[in-house]
Amino acid sequence: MKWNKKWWMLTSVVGLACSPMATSGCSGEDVRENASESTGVSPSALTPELQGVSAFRARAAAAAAQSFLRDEPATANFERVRAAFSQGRPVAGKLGIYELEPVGDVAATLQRRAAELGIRGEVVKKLNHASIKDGVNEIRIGERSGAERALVTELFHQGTGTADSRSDDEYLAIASRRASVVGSTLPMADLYPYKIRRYKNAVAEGEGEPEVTTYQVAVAFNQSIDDLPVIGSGGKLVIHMTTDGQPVGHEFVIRKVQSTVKELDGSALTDPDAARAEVEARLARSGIDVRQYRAVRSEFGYQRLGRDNTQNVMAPHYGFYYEALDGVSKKLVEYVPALKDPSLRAIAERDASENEGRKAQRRQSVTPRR
Amino acid sequence: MLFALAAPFLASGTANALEVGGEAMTSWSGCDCSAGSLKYTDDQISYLISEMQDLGHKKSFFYTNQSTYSMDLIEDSLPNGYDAGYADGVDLFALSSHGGAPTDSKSKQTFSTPMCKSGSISDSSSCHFDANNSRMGEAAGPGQSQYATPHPGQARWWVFFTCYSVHTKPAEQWGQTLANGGDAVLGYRGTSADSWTTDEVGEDLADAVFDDGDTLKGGWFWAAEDWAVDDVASMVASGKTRDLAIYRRDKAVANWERRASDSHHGWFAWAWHEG
Repeated sequence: MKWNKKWWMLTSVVGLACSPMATSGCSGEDVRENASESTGVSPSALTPELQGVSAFRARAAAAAAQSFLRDEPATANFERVRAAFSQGRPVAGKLGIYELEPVGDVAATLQRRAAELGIRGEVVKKLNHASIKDGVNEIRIGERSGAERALVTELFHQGTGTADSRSDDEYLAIASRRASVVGSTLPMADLYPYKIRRYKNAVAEGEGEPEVTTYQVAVAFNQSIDDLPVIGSGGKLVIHMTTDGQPVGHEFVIRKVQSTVKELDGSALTDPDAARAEVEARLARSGIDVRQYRAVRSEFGYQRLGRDNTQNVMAPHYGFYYEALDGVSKKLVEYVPALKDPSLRAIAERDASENEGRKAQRRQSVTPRR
Repeated sequence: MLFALAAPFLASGTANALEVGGEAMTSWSGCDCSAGSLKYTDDQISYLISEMQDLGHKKSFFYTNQSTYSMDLIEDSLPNGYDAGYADGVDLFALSSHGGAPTDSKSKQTFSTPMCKSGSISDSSSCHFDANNSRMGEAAGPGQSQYATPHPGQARWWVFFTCYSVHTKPAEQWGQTLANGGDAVLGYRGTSADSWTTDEVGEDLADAVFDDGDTLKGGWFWAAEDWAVDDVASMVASGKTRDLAIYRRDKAVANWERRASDSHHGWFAWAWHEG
């Protein structure tokens, strides 16, 4: 991550659970200590109030700082919830459990969306999705999540590498214009610039020095609900483009909120440190020695699952990211509902059970054996 | 240029069911190698194989933990190897586990992963697989490589759901592996996640490449693209010339013809993302 100094100073009040500069492990209780060290502010001094994504955007704009908010709104709000708990009062802010619009008739949606994007052709049913192909243009919609992907197939990850001559902000401007064209079904006002990626090609003879070029750029926008970030794989609109800004494709895993299942406030939340302990106990039950990891990112927001998953309800969750102390082993990522009341938590868990069942079926269909 | 390169496609409808094999490590208990336990690696492989089966392809094997041997990935004509029955005995082989990119004795970057045991009767010394000892897809026939006997290779695509599997110097890691056969090695640059949210990357790869007809590169990058987790998918392919290596990296699809027995490659092309 490129750390803009001004941006870091502005956001340091609510910084990461473990800062990028932390040199020692910070698992469990250590995380709390390192959070204080990295921000210079003890949890008890943080304002116990959720901070809206719009406030982050406004501050970034005022400071002419990095436009992409990355995971800062989620990590900052995690720290604010922790601060509230350390001060013995509920965090202030509007929360809720929300039902999403249904995926609906995929073939009908696909035909309508294809027409909107100028893609003509017949709906072809695939294993987990339906698609329409029109020469080099293709659109597909997933049956479980309603995820939409549209591509110029001859360009998608096939671009000729070039010198990367444009700035992040130029690509963001191009992506924003494209998003307004392809995002007619999305809650556009609730999307904010999230991350940017540059795709690289390299070629070399043998083990010689490679020629390296950039061939594609992607800008991701992240969804907010109640002005709070969506966390997890979904809730993203991604615009892919060539290095000179021509459209290559887009994908989103976003459905609008249809109704409120339950209005909540901060008193509904479980203690973030208790949630962390719950996650670490879950990992330990799987045989993972959490002492060999350090927590590097702790998030609070509405969890949205990725393109493969059925999901009808969105609820507040905590997300925990760990890196191995040896610097080699895999990262660990775990999410847990942030709800204290078992009956509320059950709403989120019931919604997740369909995915669990599908995954269990997959596991059973392929039994390991030698 | 393109018309001269367009030959590798098979005629529509001639593609047969592919053979798929996978191995995964969740625990090194009772193994000669040791490493920290993992939670979702077996899911990554089982979902990939399950999706391939749903698409009409055939599971050849799926081994986990104490059933995994480094010999499964080592070229059978090299000491302690028998990949012909395993990683090089299927069209698509995938491993989900830990991985590293250490520097070898020649100061080159390699890829290493801890399996459970060596599996070799003659030498049980190393349960670690080192990519220096791998050769994939070496076809038998005119001009064949030395590795095509006694057992030719079958593998076209290897997928390593591990950290550092296609890292910063893929030509050093996988050059010898792709020199005489195979289409591509797919993996990660830097670390990768063991997570409920990325356990379906293999399933998505199968969906994109083997159901939707995406290119191998496009399908892999799409499958692994998780903007929250920030894993960096990467891949490496090879060619006889610079342009052919680039073409094979960018355009390869599942129904391309196999490489000929005399197609020795000296150029390597790879891709990843930054940011």
